Amino acid sequence: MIARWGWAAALVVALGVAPVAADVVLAGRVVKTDRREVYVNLGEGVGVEVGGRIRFKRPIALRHPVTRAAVNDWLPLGEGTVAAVGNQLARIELPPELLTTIKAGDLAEIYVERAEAAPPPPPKPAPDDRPIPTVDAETAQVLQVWRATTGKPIDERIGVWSGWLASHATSPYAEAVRADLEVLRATALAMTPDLPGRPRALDLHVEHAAPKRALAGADVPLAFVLADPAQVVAASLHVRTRGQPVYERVELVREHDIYLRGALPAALVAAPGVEYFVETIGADGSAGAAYASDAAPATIEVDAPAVVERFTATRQRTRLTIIGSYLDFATFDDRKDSAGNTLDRRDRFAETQIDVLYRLAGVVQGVRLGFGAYGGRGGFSEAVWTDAQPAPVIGFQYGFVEAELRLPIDRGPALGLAGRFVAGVGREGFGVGVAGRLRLGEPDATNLSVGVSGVQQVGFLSDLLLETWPLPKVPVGLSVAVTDQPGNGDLGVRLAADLGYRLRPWVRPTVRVSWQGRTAAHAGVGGGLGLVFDW
Amino acid sequence: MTSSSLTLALVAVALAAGPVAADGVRHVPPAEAEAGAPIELVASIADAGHKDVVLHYRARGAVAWVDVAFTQAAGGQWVAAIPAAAVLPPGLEYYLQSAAAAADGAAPAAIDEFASAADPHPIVVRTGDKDARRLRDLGRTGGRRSRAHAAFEWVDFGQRDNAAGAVVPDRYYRIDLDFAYRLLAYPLEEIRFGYTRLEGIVPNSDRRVPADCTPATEGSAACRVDAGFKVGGWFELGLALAEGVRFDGRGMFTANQESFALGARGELRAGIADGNHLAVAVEYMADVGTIGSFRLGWATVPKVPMAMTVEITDLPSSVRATGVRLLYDAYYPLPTGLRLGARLGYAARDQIIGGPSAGLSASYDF
Repeated sequence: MIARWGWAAALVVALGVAPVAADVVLAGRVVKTDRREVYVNLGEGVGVEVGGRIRFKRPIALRHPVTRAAVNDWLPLGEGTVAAVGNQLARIELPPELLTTIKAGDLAEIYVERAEAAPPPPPKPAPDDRPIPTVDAETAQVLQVWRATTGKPIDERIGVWSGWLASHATSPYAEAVRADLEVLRATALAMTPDLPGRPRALDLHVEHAAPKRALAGADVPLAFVLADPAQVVAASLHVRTRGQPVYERVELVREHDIYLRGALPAALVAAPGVEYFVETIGADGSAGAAYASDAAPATIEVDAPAVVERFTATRQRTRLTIIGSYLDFATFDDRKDSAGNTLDRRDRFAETQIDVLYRLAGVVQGVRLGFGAYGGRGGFSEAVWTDAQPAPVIGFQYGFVEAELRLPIDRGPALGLAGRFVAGVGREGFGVGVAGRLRLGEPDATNLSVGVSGVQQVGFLSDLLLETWPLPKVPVGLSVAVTDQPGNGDLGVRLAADLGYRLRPWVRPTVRVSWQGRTAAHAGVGGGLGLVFDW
Repeated sequence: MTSSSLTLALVAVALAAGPVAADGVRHVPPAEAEAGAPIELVASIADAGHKDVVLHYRARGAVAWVDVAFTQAAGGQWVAAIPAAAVLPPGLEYYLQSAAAAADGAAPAAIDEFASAADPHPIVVRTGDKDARRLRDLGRTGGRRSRAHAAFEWVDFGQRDNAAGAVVPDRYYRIDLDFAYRLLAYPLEEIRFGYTRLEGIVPNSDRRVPADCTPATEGSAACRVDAGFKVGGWFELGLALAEGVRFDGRGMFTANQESFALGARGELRAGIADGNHLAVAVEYMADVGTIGSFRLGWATVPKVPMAMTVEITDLPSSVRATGVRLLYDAYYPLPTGLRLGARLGYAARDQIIGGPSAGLSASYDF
């Protein structure tokens, strides 16, 4: 294909040396594709004529393997013939093999002869006398491959770079090349959707003894033996958990010429099984499945992890929370009696709590167990406390256990449901309580939750809570609650804001401010402090 | 040769039947093997007359390599065998080298032919499901099957009084001594025998000291109860419903203050008993009372596993009101199998009066 356009390249060179005519290569874009033809935005207005040959290229954005600078490159696709020309557009007939390849947005170039004189050539830049920078041998080799592949068809590029990667897996440029290969392969896949199944000119298959079962969450090392090592330049393993639509690619390392070794990544080795196939790339740039295929992959059974596995992790699984808060419903209640005396309308409570959360993977997201103490006085907006009728005293010392479930929702934000059982003793003896919370979103990210709790001798509280991280180290919680605490008193509302700061990855102090009231006259402020440890 | 190893060898031969690289060793590595059956590795060697090919293998995690030379077998293939005794879970790793005699008589130089000492190829060795589970369980206990355990605990719910000034304590102590053996015969995972002594003094009413008691009579049976028992023997079965889910069922026989009595205990636990776990338990002892508890254990602090427990109980006497105990445990396991523990807690039957709990424990695994 390149050879057929050699004349164009020669023309460009010639123009650069001694321009004697105004012949130009015009560049446009494919603006519309139809069943057997495409339209480009080049018309007779710029000199396009019926019967002219027009070539197509696919723009591709890559990064330079050494500098990582963005590079706009192109891939040659093929040629078509100008079938009709309008003022602004031309209709191009395509050969059958290009019918499904050319897409809107592809580059279109045509060589046009013009009668008018050519514009003067741009002045030649002054020679650069600076010494050519020296590079190490590895860099030089990468640059050489880069130059050699620029402008080449995509299969050829993939073959050359894959071969380089197979023999330079530990090169400092391997990651960059691997990333560019992903772009090339994705482009190739889009251009030829039937890539894995297309006929192979070479015998590139591998021999392999496949395991039948594997442990969940552990790498599965595999080895393959090339049937004809001389024909293969590179190979890759494609892996997915059974039931997943997409394979992940793992480069196979070539050893002692005939062996390919790699591993199914632990993250993909999960129940009910893991599927894989091997794709090889031949010396001619052709690629295809060499062991099993994407449509019929090899399968390894993977047992669901035992319950005990959910409890084996020890890092980033535990959180200790210590909080203390104080609420006063009567800070601003300055109602006086007829004689102007301030009345005792005390109405407040305080609570401290310490708990430990252990996070689990799976449906049960975490379990929490904690202790707390609660104490308060009052609870009524209109009551006036006297020596004869003192404010009721409420106290409760308790422990609780909680489990949070992650509901199996496939789409949308995470949905969690937590249930808590509370047991404790108050002034009237033993009492119990329950609490529940429905959470929309991840517990440690932005989430909205609604909770309700009721505890004997203490009262009930329901709240709506928004938690978010406006800054990476600063969590914020905003809540509005309705409660009859302390001691099943009058209903009141509490507005609270919690602010934290992650001092270290494992510790986060928090502060709370709140306003609460049972009536417009009977309201007050509160506050609290907390410490959260993660390890 | 066992039938399984024969099968493996046949498979390996079949897989190795392809063309041989011009000067190399062609070998299709087996992916897995069966525990206790020999593994025969088969190779095609291109220039077998001019070099020796050696298998180097070792158990996964071992340091030293064992060398086995390939020998020619029928059909032109070359074979090296790993003996059955070496084929143990979790697996093996190996590599192949060749050594060609130097022309000048110098020592032959070894050349890696498949994998290498630095990057050997693993073979997973499989066992039956129960055997594999047994190995994992033993791995968690360091291979130790027996445990001797002793625990002492002091529980004080606070002194109680009445309007007349009579004062009676509300407290008890408990001693547990037991021996456990891990049978690992699933679902029966463990058996346990134990002795418990539990004695306490409590007011003879549910909350306060009886109203008609005075300081002069506060020591009488009408005002205080000597609760508990001196001797309690028990037997417990640990049933593993699944790996990581266990139910411990206990039957208990006690000689309490007045007669022979029965007791029972059940604990359902998810996780690892000495590590991260969540447990719910109920214990009943006739006349002495009932305990219901939730416990969360975590082993996420290096070397110091911990636990928190919420206990609902009327111990040491069923005449007493139900209270709660909030308990924190910390343990210090030593490599020798000794595990020391300390407990601190708070116990109360109401919000007005409460008291401390404290305990020590030690266990030895062998």
